[in-house]
Amino acid sequence: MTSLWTFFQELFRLCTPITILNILWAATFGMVVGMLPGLTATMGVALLTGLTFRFMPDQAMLILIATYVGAITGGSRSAILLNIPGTPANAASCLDGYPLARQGKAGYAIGLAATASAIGTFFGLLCLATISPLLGKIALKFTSWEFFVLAIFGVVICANLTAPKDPLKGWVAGLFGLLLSQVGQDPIQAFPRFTLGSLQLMGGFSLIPIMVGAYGVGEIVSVMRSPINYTVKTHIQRIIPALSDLLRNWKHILRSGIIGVFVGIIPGVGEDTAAWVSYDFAKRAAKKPELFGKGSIEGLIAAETGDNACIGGAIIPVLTLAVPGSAPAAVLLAAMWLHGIRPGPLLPIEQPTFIATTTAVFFLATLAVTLLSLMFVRPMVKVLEVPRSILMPIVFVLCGVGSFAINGRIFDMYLMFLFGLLGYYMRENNYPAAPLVLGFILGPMADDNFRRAMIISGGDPTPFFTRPICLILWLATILAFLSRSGLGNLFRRRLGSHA
Amino acid sequence: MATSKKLWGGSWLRRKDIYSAIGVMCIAAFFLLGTAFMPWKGVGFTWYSAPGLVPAILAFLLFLSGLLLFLRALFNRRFYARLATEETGGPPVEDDGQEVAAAKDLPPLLQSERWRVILVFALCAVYIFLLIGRLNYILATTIYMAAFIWIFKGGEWYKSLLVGLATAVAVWALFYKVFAVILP
Repeated sequence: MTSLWTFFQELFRLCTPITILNILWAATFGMVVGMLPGLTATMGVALLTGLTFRFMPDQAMLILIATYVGAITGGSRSAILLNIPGTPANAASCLDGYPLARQGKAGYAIGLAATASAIGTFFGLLCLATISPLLGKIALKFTSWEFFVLAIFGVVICANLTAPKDPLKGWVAGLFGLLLSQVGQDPIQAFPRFTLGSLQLMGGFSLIPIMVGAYGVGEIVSVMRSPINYTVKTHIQRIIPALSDLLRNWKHILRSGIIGVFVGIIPGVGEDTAAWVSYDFAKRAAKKPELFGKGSIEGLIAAETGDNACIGGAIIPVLTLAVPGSAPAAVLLAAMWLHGIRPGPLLPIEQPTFIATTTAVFFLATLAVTLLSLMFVRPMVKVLEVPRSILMPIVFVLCGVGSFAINGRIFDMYLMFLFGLLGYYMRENNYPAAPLVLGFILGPMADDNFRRAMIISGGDPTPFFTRPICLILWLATILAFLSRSGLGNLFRRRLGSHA
Repeated sequence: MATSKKLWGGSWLRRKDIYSAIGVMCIAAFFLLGTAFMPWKGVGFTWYSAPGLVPAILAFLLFLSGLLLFLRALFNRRFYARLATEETGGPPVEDDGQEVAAAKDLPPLLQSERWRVILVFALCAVYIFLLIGRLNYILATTIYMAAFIWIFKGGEWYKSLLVGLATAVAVWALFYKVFAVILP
């Protein structure tokens, strides 16, 4: 009851003209970024992190969350109209959204996707408000041993789920991210590690240039690569969906919402996995699964509800454990650090109203994105007609400003470019970027807590394997590892031959 | 020639994996070597709290992963055959031929994907390493934008210049003047 009261207090406090203005432009910006094929929510949020550095923390969070929600919602536009997902989270929406557009129902599909997205986001919001305080209480039991194992668990599970066909490459990316985070002065003895005598590397690599480079620059190059430029040709008519279509599919909406939130809570996995899993479950449960992929309303609703519900889910571990649930949530976490907010188990003690503030911000962002996504479909779709040869250099210029703004160092722009090269190389060679980023974020947590724990136990590693939460996390990590490593198959074959 | 065919197995991804695995092992070796030069015992700390311990473990695991990738790329042909058959995606993008025809009107250099990638990176590198910090921000951004748009056939030279200048001024006014963000 106290939490609900605090939520309303924060909501009323935030309802000012400046807030409304910020939320509207940020939601529009997010939707435009999401709509443009290749530009992702992560890139949009990373870009604005640098640019909103001088804003008040609550306004900065508001802008970033509105961009995040806007991008995931807006991505369905290009998926439906061009059959090219605006963000990876909307890839599953192509399967039924595009066939619907080909049947002359583009406007209806967009309206349906926007409504399903809104329902999904509100579901995620509800879970954020209810689960965060509960998880926060469990998180208070976490000490150095648990945090170290949690970091390992996060990287392994993220690598498994973001590289399902080749998890080895996911692990390589995760380990590389963990190693990159070790550059700079170590957190206990302040010993400079791998700095090669460079003063610029004393503080380590900054997260924003790495993320903007890996996601933003890599994406610009991917978008510009093809000589063929696809444009919108479908005419948009009716937009608002029939209420009966939504009521008829309440089971798909509820199931996808739960899946979205659950996938969101898993470290580093994110919206694309949530959308695919929701889509797959909806297909299995559908009365006419043969319609999936040919313009099924259920398929579109499931994918869009799942990916948007994931947003709320991904923010839950950010607030309670300081572990991001998705790549855009990782940037949100970095933005919180930049603004002096320290998410984690101690957050409710150090900043008692912050979870309520975030929930209120999320609520306002969802409201703005829902209204904008249903009201301005036609003018927003016009953005897809701007030639990419004009749009992409603008994006690169903004990437540069975003990378430079935080520390005011040109070195960070060089880093952004180099990580752009790396991001493109990784993309071309099927290495997922998410474990790299998650590893980079969790690296200091793993290093600091591992050594702290070893100092406390006098060099004895047994508590890592005997404490109950550690045991559960190790078990989950080992199961995830075995299920993908090929060793699992070997065991199954051996068992099969013995039987 | 026959040896290389036997080694690569004719698979493009396998060959790329061999190169990237070597790269991964080299990076891991560099970090591992770096930890060897760090203090492992000193005032107030011992081996288990040494600054090089966690990086050494991580570098070792990375080296191991790189080695596994290398061995898989060399010997596990079935894995790559399976990957090739598992390639799936959404329904193909339908075009009415207009876009493809427009692409065919481009100069030969812009029709090649490889050259397009090289051009994008080259233009961005010139902007970051040569223009920014040496020229005024608006001038540097205008030059980069105009060159990018003109080279990729986004418009005539005067249109490219105009769009470039408008973008540079807009970014400067919005971020420097309104948001008080420092610009390079």
